[in-house]
Amino acid sequence: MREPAVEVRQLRKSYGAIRAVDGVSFTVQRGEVFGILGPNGAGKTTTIECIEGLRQPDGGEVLVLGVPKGALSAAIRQRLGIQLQMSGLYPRLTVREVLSLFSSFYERALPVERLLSMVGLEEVQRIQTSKLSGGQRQRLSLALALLNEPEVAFLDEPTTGLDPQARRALWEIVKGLKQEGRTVVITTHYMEEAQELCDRVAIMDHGRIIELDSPQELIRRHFAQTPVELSLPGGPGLSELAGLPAVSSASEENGRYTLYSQDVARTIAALFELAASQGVALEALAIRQPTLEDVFLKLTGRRIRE
Amino acid sequence: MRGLLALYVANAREYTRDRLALMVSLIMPLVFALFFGLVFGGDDSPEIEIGLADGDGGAVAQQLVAMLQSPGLAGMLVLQQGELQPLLEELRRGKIDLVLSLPGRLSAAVARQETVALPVYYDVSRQSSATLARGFMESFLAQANLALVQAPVLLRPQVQPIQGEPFRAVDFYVPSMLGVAMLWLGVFGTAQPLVEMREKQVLRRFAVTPISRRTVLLAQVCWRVTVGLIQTALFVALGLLAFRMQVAGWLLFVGVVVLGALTFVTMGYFVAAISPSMESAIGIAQILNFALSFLSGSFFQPEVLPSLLRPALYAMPLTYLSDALRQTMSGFPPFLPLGVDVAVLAGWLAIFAALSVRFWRWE
Repeated sequence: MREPAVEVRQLRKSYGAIRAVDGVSFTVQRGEVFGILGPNGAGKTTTIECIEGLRQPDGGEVLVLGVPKGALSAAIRQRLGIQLQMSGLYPRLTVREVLSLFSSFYERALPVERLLSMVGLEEVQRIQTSKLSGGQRQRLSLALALLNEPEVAFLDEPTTGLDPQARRALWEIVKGLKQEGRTVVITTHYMEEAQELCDRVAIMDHGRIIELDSPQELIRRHFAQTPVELSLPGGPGLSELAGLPAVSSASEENGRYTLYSQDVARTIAALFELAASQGVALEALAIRQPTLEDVFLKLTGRRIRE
Repeated sequence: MRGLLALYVANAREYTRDRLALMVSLIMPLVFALFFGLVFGGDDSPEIEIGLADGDGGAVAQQLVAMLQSPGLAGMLVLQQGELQPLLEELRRGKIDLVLSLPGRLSAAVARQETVALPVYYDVSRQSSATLARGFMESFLAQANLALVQAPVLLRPQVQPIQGEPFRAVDFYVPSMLGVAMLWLGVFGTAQPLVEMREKQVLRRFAVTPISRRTVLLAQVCWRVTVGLIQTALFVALGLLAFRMQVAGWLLFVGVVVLGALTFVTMGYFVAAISPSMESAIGIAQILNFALSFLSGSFFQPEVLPSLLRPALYAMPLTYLSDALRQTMSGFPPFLPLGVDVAVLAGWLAIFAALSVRFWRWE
């Protein structure tokens, strides 16, 4: 069996008094799409940048492709693809020139044409990078991470700033990487993205991993219940709704209620009865599949984008 | 190697596409050199221009004109003949240095052995040229007097020309401004772009690729030395074409240029290393620019600096570069021996390199 793509043991990193990463451990197997999920400031970027060798950890151990401090050696870097959340490019070089420049750093690289079509930048290939839109820069940054056909790709919030269509296109690229047997480590604060792409997800909050498993398993473990959403203008309040049959917990946000039900049929029947008896109308009733967002909300009491 | 070349080309594109900065950094020093060369270079030929108003036309007048036009005076004297009033007007406008008027009765009076007063006009507001012209005219008339009385010549000067300092202002200013251009290449062309790249996190992106940091730096330094050489080519073209200069020693000159460019580009790295932000980089660059250009004997000859400021003069690396460039480009008289200049520059290069390595930050 080959060595894991990434092993992280008891990683710690502080900035002054702030513990950005506080004892994080995980292993990413070859061919896996591994997600690090959490709100801004959870420590996702610090974690991934410690692995990439951009930051010096205060403690713990990082192995990349089985090599300690592997991401620092040029030979291992030939096999890695890294997209940074924050990085600039020569502002006066064109998209094409930037791709050629970075291609020259690798022993083998995809043809520039192929890269341009992969991330959909053909039309702006002769535009200087300073004139690109945020989404275009993001896609160029992705192309730079993938141009050497890396064994392990690190993508730090690759879909931030992308429109929905470009985000879907990126998802297809990541799925393609998985099909080719490549390893992807991806950070995101989009729950649906982690759910759509990742084999396993580490949920981070305040510098720690609070859960780590496949999205399905996380949802199953935390949600035997099904979320039922509704609005009930002028009707009963949260406490009355929470007391309905089979409802284990309930929350309210801007007049919209979410009831977590262990038996949707019973809860809904009781809900209609309650509405009818009080003469109020149920609005926008929806029965959702539980998502990672629900898991995060349950684990932390906060929504991820707060 | 492939990466180095690609980075070099990328640096070249990035640098040359910033048209405004390119114009300012390449052209400004040339404009300075041209300006100082023209302002202080003026036509300081040693010739005395004399206007002669001949109201006589007789034998004596002709003899005087012949004496003034003798080959022995060529190169020292320019004679302009005409009417008195227009010549006086030219004198007032500074076109000529002195006007000699020969009155109408000159030849007749000389024949009668009478003393004749010859009016000599000069402009009191122009001291040096007037004194020179008057001195010349007095000794000329004394000689002419002896010739007219046919006195025997007992004392005759035998001229022994010795080459003194045939240097013009451009010989000083063109190489000195090339030195200033190297300084600007360091503080404005290197330090500021580097801090900008660090702030925009361009350098960070390279850090996660297989390319070594050494290669990234090497490509930047190579490109900037290239800029220094392009700058030098422009200066040489200006000197040769506009000022008819001659390069004293090509090989040494190019060597000094490369050493100077390396020294000041490395100084730029040092400034970038110690500048926490763009604002401070600009501040430090301005201070260095001011101190080094004015205390280095680049805008004026180092010898004229008061002794109080001498230590500062010797502390400035630009002092040595400008002096070395003057010696090797125009052959201007040395302020210090060339070997000393080169050694001190090399020392500064080593100091800046060590400090840059010590304080350099990629992000």
